[in-house]
Amino acid sequence: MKGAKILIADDERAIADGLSAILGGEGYEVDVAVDGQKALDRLQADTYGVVLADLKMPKIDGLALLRELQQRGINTECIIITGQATVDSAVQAMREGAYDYIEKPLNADKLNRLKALIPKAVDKYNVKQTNRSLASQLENLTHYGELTGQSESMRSVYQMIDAVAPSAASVLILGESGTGKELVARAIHNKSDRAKGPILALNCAALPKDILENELFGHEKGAFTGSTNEKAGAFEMADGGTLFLDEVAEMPPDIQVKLLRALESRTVRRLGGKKEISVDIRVVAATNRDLQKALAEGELRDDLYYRLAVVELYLPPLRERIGDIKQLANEFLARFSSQNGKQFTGFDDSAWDWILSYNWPGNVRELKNAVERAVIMSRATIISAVDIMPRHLRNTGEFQVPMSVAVGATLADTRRQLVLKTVAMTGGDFPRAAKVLGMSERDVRAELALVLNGGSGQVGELAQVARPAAIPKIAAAAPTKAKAADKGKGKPKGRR
Amino acid sequence: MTDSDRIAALWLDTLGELATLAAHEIRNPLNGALLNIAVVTQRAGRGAVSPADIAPFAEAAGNELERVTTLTEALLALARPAPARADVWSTALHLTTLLHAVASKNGGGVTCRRTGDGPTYCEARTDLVRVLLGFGMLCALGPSHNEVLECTVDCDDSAVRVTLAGPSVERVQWKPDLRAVAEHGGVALVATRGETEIVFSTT
Repeated sequence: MKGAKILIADDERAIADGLSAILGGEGYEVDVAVDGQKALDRLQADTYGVVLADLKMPKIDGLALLRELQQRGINTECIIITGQATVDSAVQAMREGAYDYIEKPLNADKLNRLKALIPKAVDKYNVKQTNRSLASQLENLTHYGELTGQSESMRSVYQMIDAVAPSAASVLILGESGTGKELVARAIHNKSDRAKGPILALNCAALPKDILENELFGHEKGAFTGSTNEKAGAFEMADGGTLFLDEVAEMPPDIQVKLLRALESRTVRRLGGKKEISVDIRVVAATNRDLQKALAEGELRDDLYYRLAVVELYLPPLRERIGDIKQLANEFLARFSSQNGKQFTGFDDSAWDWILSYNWPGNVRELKNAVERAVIMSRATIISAVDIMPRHLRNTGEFQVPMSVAVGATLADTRRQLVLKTVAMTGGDFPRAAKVLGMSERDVRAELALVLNGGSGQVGELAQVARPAAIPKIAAAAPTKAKAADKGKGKPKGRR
Repeated sequence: MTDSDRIAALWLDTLGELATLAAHEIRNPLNGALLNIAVVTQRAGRGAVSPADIAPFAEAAGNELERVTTLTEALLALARPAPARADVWSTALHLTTLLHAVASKNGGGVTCRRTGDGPTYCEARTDLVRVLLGFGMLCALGPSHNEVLECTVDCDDSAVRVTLAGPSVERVQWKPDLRAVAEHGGVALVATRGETEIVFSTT
């Protein structure tokens, strides 16, 4: 059998059977559908490389079938065969994405043409399938459920989710606020055999003690003043699924005891209730607290910790996975542009400089909010640093260009780098740079002389940014290394 | 413009529309015949072949050619120069053959039956008969040619009455020029609720 299968969609039985026999004789595996709807059903249920569709068919005609294929993301190539040959219908078919168009009756010439077209259409289909498969593989490398990131640390997280999800073990997710702990909990649930069951999320820090207890365990009618109806708690409602307890270290100690008991006995008792209710749940908990400190200070019970943390999963903060920032920012930009009906070409260099050097203490959530705000507020077609920076950070320096300093750098190195950057930003205007830096012009020149004579490799940056007129001034400050400025044509060294 | 010119022009319009519709219905069986013959040729070309392997395809090709022949004959009969005496029944039959092929493909259908044992010939000119029946039946099939249409040809000694009945028969709007030509040719056009009657005098 030759590669992909072929579907013939024609309500003329003699045509469909004849064509089927001819193509079968050529080595193809062929199926027949006698109207457009049946063809669509088959195309959805099975995989075909090519569909040979009559233009005029009952229920769904050839052009409507083409449209449906496109809308449903079915890659099958379509060759339209018609007895109603008009230029309009041919043009429309090609516009709708038909691979080709052949007019009935299929005499020997046209039949040969069709036989020659089919392998080409199959090749095109195979290329599309390969592309789709590669895109899917790429998607799997960069995404996992609702999580985004291809950094080493995120891939470790994905591997851990894969490993832990099928088990029944409790999982404790550790990570700063905004890193996506709930998304991880949902990914674990969706990958587990409990995926068809419910997942219930409860933030233990957001609710006062009494309400939290009620939310967790439920109550019977008359359990307390105003409890006119019975109410099932989160444990009962998540039966057969997953209960996600966020900020678990913030849970009051006496509820921790009840929670521990419920986890160990797999039963709960409603407030005011007498009977034990069996529950089948998996608990995934999360915290952004320093757990060792919380344990040492007695805020989190040791026994509950060991019960919850059968598997500990650490979710890295955004600053520890800088490689993911660009991908996340671009995805948020695409998402919010679409949601707000705006079109952006991307982020400009100043925005990227700031995005990639900012610490992102609020992690992915902060980045997401920053991009959404920028999309809403910007009137340009490209997002710049001013659009994306939070207001409180906008006026901290005369130039909105970040500077990154590696931990371990000396103060002297840092000072030199700051002077160099500032001189570069002023275009070699030493008096202005000195004013911005709060130094004397002489000190600025002296600092630069050290750079130039010390061969730090940063001269290129200065030569690139400074006005041409400034170069002699700098050279005058350090004549022996002046030529080095011309050689340094590389991009500024940064975290990118 | 004389009545003859008007009738000739109207018939050319009607025949053009009939030919366009028939072309598609002829291409399909022609395609079926060609493909099935190609199967027979393909299999025969591979050497030893049993009759069972090719018989169904040869039979299918034959059936398809029958369809082509029927449709082509009907179209040719209508396109030939008008004979001196107009045979209403045979004109209605040819039109029914062509239009049924079109309508049945679209979910409709056309039937034609004869009642009475009088002559099927009338006094009106053949081209006028063709124009009136062709125009009336095409209109009654609806713009998508997908309605059900019943045509009854009742022949008695004084007239041949053609009655068109169907859900869309009220769409048949006899244009004033056509009505005038019909009157001059001795044909009465009678529209009643749900039916249109074309009465050709035989005396």
